Amino acid sequence: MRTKENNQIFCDVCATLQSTRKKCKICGNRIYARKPYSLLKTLLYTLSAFIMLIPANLLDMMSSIKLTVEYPQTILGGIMWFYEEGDYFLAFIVFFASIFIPIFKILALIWLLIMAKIGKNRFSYFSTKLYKIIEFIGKYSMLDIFVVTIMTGFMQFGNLIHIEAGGAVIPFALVIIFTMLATQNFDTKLLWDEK
Amino acid sequence: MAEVYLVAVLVSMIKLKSISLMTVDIGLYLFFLFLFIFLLTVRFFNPHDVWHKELIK
Repeated sequence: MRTKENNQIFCDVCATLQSTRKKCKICGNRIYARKPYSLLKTLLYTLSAFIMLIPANLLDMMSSIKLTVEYPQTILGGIMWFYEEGDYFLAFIVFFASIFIPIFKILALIWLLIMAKIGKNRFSYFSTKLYKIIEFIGKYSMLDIFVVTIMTGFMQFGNLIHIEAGGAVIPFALVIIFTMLATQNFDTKLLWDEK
Repeated sequence: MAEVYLVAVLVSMIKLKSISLMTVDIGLYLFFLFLFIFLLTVRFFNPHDVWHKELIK
């Protein structure tokens, strides 16, 4: 059903059709035909994520301090460490979660923005699938943040050995949060509107 | 997000193994159990049900 033309809006919270008004008469949720400022918000969050991606990859993720000697490690350094230890599978998982997913998400969001601007075309089906994929895999990039949290919590033995979070943690967390917000603010219905 | 946390726990266990001796204790198994039940709960919970009690069987 084309709800936009019928002056009817589907409420996401209580799953009922509503005649156009600002609030749903059943659950009080704010309703709209399309998310307000969807493309602008998605674009700005994507750009912010892209900017934050640079310090996230250049700065240290965490550094272990053994007997006052510091061993800093970037994201890529951590992956190389697993690779050299022979843990190829883990190296792959960390690479996938920390490097592949953020970059893939940003590229996918740019593609979605272009497609939403064009309107309904032969890629609309593919774009909707792509949106579902980036919405699902987004949370897996939190892996590195969790690893740093656990490691710093475990290894606190004063000067003998302790692990500190590096400068890349906050930019990296921001990359993930910004891409998640961008995905949330994107309205897939825009992919199917005929312009 | 809980399954991501599980992967993070396993990754950091392997990282810590190179520094010190690690043994797996009951907490990890309980965490597995929690994760399983949590995923089931998420799977069966439908937020729309709150507004349509006549449809709940």
